[in-house]
Amino acid sequence: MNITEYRAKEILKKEGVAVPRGVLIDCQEHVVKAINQLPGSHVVLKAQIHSGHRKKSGAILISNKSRAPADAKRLLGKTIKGEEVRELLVEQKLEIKREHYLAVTIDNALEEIRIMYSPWGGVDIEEVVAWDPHKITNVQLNNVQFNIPQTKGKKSAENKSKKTALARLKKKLKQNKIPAEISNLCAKLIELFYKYDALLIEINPLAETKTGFVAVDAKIIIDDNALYRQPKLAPFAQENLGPLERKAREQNLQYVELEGDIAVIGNGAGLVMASLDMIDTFGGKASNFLDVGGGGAASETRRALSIVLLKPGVHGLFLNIFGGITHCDDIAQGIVAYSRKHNLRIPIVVRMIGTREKEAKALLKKNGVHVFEEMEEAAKRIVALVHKQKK
Amino acid sequence: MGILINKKTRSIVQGITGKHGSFHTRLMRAYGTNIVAGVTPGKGGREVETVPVYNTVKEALRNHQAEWSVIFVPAPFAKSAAFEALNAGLHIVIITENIPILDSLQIMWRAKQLKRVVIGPNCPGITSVDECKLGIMPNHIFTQGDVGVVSRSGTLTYEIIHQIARGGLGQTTAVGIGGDPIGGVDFVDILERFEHDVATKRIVLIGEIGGDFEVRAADYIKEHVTKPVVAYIAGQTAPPGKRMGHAGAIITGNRATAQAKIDALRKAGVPVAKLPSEVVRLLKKGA
Repeated sequence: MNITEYRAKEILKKEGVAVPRGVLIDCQEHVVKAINQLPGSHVVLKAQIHSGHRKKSGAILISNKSRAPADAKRLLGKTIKGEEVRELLVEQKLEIKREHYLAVTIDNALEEIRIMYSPWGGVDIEEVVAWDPHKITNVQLNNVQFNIPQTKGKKSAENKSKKTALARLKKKLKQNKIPAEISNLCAKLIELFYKYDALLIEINPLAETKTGFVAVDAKIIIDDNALYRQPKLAPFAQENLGPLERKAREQNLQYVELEGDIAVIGNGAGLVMASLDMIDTFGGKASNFLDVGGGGAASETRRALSIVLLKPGVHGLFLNIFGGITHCDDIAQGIVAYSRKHNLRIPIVVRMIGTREKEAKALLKKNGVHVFEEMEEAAKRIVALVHKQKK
Repeated sequence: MGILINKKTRSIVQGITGKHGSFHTRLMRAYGTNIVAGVTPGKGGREVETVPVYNTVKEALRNHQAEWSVIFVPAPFAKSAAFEALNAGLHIVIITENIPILDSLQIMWRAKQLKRVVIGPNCPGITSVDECKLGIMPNHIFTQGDVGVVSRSGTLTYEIIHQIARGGLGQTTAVGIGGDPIGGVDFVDILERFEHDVATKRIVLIGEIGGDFEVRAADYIKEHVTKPVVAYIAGQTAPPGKRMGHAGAIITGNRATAQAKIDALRKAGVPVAKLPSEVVRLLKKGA
């Protein structure tokens, strides 16, 4: 889950990392009041959208105070990179001596936590590092058994491990010639990383000012799997989802909206991805990805159908089920119940094999739905039917 | 023959009293797996499918001998269950999905310290055909043969195994390494074991978008694998930035796309099937 800059800064501020003074507004009427609270002749207007490279896409504007209300009006409600701007962060403009870069993330391949620091921060950090990899310092960290909230019993041991790890980290940072002030900040970010179950904390630019380092921009990604123990962050999880994706999430279904017109349901992420690819190979386009998961029942199938068929412009339905824990006849019952209730008129092709396949086939056949055993044959068929229908 | 587990393997099941734990204990035993004990805190003294249940792993191992544990424990408790098994000297298969990444990371660190094998999390487990099954793969799809299978997914693996069987070929061992960005054994670990396994004559690798596991596998194959390898990569049409069901199945950079993986594998001399059904044909051609 990618949280907005404002929320990321709230977290940083709470944990003792300096951020610029700022006010969040969601309507233009509050702009003037916000501006009056901030020092200096200029303010920075920052659209709170989730996509990156905001400066380059015009989502961040620096304006003098007299022009700021008009600029804010322009930004609010505008759509940038497919996202509507609903909130603006109005911030003081700082005197910056130098822009640095600091991030903590997980290196999946090495299975380590990685700290990245560069004194050449700012919007072009990626290019700077691409040109000269020595301009960024990477420090790897492992074996930090931290005090994650859930493990209460072993707190003292884990706290000790944490202290040792932080001491080790500071030593490593010193060896890498990272300034003491940055090193202290790193230790703080590592603690934050665990405390909030982050997958990424990125501060760019980290501004060097007269009074110290300030996080001028901040990006934090929180692990969706850990939201059960992050009750304060959990409500933001659905912010940047579309309405159907939100509905699917509420029902514990894995759903992704796509561009095509053939609705796809399957059990297992790999099998569904392969189904999308097959449909594409045979000349069709899927309108979604939906994994009903293992052991899916009739009710789950009905819910899955109600999501994928809600999307406008769907011309066909393809189900691909490999029965293992999942019973084919459960899925079949769901299909029959749904299509009766909603009087489905689009072509349906079902591919089923495995546990209770015979019962499923008999039931679907009785209701006029053709069942295939081989998935490629089935994928070809749905593409052909949809093409025919559109003609 | 096959890798990692065989007829002699003994295992416990953590989370044995739960719905999935008890159901799959029955199926694993039906396959011939030697499940010696189960563990669920607070439920010691019971029996599940005639398997005795204990409160802790330690207690179970005081009364039984085992080398492995299969973990069905819900995500919030999976880390401590895994630590318990690792600290008791067991290798582990973690079936549980949705484990927080920082928990997984700590599990992997502990396993490395103790030199234990971890398969998963978020995986279907491992089956050495007609010898032993640890996990949730359907019993009926396997036939004995000479193909080693390693995959990041579940049902897609069953699908391809089913097609291998229809094509008249069988398997030695099938390993589902799981769909999470942080996991235990990876393609390289399993390829290395298949390369050294006398019964395995050829290998199927089933990958998907996200991470660079397959690119690293390709590098390894080029240098170290002499047996023929055939690959299939799911997610060739997946859009970037969207998580396709598996936590790890998300395109975040050039190396994470299906095409980058396909290119790397082909460059390493590995034929990549466009459709799942082509896997069998390519296997037969290569051997």
